Amino acid sequence: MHKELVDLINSNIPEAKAVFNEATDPKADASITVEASSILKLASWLRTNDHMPFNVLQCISGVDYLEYMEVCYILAHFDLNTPRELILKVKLTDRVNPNLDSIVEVYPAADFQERECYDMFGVSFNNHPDHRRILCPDDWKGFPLRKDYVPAKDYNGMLVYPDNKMNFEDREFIVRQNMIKKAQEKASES
Amino acid sequence: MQSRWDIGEPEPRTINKATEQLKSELLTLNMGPQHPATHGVLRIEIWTDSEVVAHAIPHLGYLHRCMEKHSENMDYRAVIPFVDRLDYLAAMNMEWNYVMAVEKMLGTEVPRRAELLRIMVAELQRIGSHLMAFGTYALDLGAFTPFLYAFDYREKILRLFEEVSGARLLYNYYWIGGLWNDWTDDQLDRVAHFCDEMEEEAKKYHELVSMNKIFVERTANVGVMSVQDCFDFGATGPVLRGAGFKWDLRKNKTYGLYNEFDFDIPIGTGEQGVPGDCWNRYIVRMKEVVESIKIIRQCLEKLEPGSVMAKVPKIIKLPKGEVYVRTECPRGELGMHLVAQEGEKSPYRLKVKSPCFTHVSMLPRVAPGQMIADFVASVGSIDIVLGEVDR
Amino acid sequence: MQDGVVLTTVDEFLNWGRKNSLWPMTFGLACCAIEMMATGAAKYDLERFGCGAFMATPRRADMMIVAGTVTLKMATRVKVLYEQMAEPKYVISMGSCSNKGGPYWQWGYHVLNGVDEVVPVDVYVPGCPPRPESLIEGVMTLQKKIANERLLRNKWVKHA
Repeated sequence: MHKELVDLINSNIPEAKAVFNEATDPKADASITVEASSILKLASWLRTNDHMPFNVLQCISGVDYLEYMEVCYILAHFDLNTPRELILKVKLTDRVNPNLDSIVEVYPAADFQERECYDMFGVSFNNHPDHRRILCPDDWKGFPLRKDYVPAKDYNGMLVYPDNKMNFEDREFIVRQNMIKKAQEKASES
Repeated sequence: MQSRWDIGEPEPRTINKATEQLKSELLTLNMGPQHPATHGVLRIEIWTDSEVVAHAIPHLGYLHRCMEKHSENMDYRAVIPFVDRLDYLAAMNMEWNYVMAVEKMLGTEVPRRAELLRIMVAELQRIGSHLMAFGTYALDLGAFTPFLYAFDYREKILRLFEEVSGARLLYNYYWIGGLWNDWTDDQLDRVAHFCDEMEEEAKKYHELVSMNKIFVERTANVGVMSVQDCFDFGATGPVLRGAGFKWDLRKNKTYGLYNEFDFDIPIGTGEQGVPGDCWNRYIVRMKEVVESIKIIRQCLEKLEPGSVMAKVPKIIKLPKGEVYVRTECPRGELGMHLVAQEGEKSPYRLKVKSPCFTHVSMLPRVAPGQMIADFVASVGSIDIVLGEVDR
Repeated sequence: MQDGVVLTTVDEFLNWGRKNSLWPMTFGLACCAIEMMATGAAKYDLERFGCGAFMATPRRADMMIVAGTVTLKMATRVKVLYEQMAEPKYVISMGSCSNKGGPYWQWGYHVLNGVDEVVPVDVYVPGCPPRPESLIEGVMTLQKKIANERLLRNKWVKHA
């Protein structure tokens, strides 16, 4: 299914440059990577074409690999005779201000999902009707799920990690603080 | 029959120029985070024109507990209690989804007895969750009796779970490779007895609530979400089945051993009101309770002695790759996107696609034109649990 | 003296009335709220302790049972609701999330480590979630605490 879809995409929308990622391990899922600038055209083609339509957008999940960021769109086709699923990936190399087109006009489900992606990773979506944070408060600083995120010491007068309530001898706590330091050093080098 | 309070038809009101030129604005109300009818800390900003809602904007994040950040720092096994606390009313189904994702990447084969018991426990949990939905929905609409009846029967299920897993609400029972504790024959007899009792109760609830004239008037033709709306927003579960589309992951994309079982998928047919309204979503849940009882009985017949835990390495490390696993939870279709790096002890990224998050995004489409009381009925019928929405 | 006469102090009499009719405010945030509802339901009845009427509005409530995780976004609202309650008022912190942050203490950047950062707490009930019997013991501990108070010396009542 993936190879056929890659050929269809490349023949209909050549600027997408779709590539089939075979999973390195046979038990994992395969996916298709496309160019970031073509996502809006590709989404409307995927919803409305006749050969292999996908009528539901289920999830938009961001992953932060330290050199680049990836946004995965998980699509599905709800049909009693020919159901299918797809993981579509988009690579964003700019880590400071990543940017994508919003696909809210094609799939209204993308509304809340894109707001969450912005909240957690800082990926801004052009032409989104309500572009603001959804889970964290509106005046929160930083993007929490990035690997080099360090939370601020206090928020509006409330201490975030007060010393008298933290278990400093916890082994995993120490290990994680070291990992954050390493990720920050790597981010400040590049 | 003419009653002595019958005063005939009201006179038509005079509309004069003064009332026509009155300037009026929309009133903003806060169905705030602390509210008896919002099933948790959901804040909905409602703009009303007298009693009719013009738009409704949901604000989330009052229960954002950073579960995805925790899952990046904990072992694969230690993430299971966090996954429990997402949808705390259907904890077993949440755990099953995560454990299935890890087992798919590891390639473990779960013993047959464990798979059958997993199905039985998941269906018992589904009955418990639907009972809770039924009780609190009736409470939202003003009826107190169904709440007490539902909680009484739910206590029986919690008692069974407490005997086998040690906790009443958040269990940590599904482990990677199987289950951590087996059921004895005595406990299985009690499950069979519970099924018989529950079947009688379900008929009682049907007479008490489903066909009650006040309940029907408040929920039929209210909050209609058509099949195309559901596809646009990605709604699944009782919301999609109440609209009339027969989509259930247990039949359409089988997982576990569900293909060996014989059960039906109820959909909303418009017996009262139209398909896609609150009454049909509610009746889909009630019928699913009856189907779950059927599955549990078949499970009890098929069980054979054996082990319930497969051999799993002491420190779990997954190969590089990602996987997206879907299961059918009582509130819809739960999806978990698990990304693993080679040689790491914890997931690199665990994204949870919760069904209630997508259902809340449908509220701005449903709200305009309804009265506030109808809006409360719509919010209750999609059965939100905020732990899942905010993660 | 005839039967039917009771001798007591004014303090004891007032405290007896107050502790046997504590009206809680529904402040269920997360999973502990479900156990609070189960405590109020038929099997573990909270109504026999006088806490039957679960008020939705803080103006009429005596005590606030904070059940569930308090996040930073919600903490300002908890404080506002606490200030809207009338004296004398009490707070029971139910569950480990509102005691000290619960299982989310380590990397919960958005979780308030304990509700006692924003409101003064009288009784802490441990558990995740606490059994209904534990919550009932928490309410009984609060009743014992109230029985030892001297209401007429309370600064709010003296200058009322």
